[in-house]
Amino acid sequence: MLFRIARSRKGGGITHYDLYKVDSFKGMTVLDALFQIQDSMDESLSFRYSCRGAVCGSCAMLIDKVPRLACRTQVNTIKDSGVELRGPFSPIASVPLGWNSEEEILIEPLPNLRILKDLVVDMNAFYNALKIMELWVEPPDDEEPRLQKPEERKRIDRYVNCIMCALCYGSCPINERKKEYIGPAALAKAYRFYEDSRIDERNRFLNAAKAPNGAPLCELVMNCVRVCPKGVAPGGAIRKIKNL
Amino acid sequence: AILLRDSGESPSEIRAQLGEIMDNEVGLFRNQETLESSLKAIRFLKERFSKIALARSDSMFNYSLIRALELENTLDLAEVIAMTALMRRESRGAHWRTDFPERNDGSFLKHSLVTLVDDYLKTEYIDVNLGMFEVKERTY
Repeated sequence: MLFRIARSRKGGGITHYDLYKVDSFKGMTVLDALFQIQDSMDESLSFRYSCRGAVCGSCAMLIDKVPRLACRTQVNTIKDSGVELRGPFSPIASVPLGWNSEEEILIEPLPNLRILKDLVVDMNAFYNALKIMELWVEPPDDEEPRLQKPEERKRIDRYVNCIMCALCYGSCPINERKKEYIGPAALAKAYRFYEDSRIDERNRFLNAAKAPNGAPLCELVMNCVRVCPKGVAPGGAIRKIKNL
Repeated sequence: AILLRDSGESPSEIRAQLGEIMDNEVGLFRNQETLESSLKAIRFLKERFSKIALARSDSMFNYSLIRALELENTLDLAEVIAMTALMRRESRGAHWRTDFPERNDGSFLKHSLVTLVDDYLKTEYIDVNLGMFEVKERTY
């Protein structure tokens, strides 16, 4: 199995692509393949990973032009996975010279975030949205646990599952065009707090989500829903925010 | 020191072999014979690790170096796990000694404690904080 991998030694932009021949096995994930390359072909290849099981969200990257987690993507299913992204934007629409899309798996850094080295991107723009919107609560230290009924919890279940991998951020054409857009994950998280029955100041979260750099910029392209590995479906939350 | 060495084997084969040993012989079901041979094999791998070399790479995001350092720590832990499994001649929780299938509170209701003193490993048993739960055999 051939892998064509985007390289960037100094960061900033992709400088070239390297081609590697990987020995594939049944059940092999893209992350397994990257380890094999680092172990036996090219120790200089950099990529992030941690849990190997779609829990930590570290290995988000562009695999055959679709943002996916390397640990959760099996090599032998990539060519017929059929994820169609809408509103094509430059990193997704442009194809590197010489890529044989039938024979080679194409691995590139997650779009819309600055490249630091090879497949490692700067997550600050993504994380900063949480700071800007203050997406947390600060209950008094001595407080008793706040209880919640199962049906109340059900309303936020979907959003609580977010692992902050930024696949949605990398799939969104608005994030590519408008650097100020805080992105789908942060909006889904704001909605999660707004819908949480234990929260006193719900409207603070709604107002943050409705700010000019938030939900109003979303054009409901819904790529975020297509690429989310945890079924969070941020686009659904954004649609609800828009209607509130 | 790893980065200064010019020649030596790569850590990946050591990592793969350690995984095999720990998975097959130091997993749930253990016995004296395989634990002894595993411990020997782990110590041999530690020897080999001390002579590895890494290819030249940038210092920024040098993940192959990070993985080599992780392997160094993993080898230390593997040795301790095999040692204490060997010492504990009983079965308890997820530690199943096929040669000692019974739980033995008389000798082993203790924590195994291993400390690195200079360059050898000091092993001892320390008391367990009891009182919160009644001590009894687990049955299913």
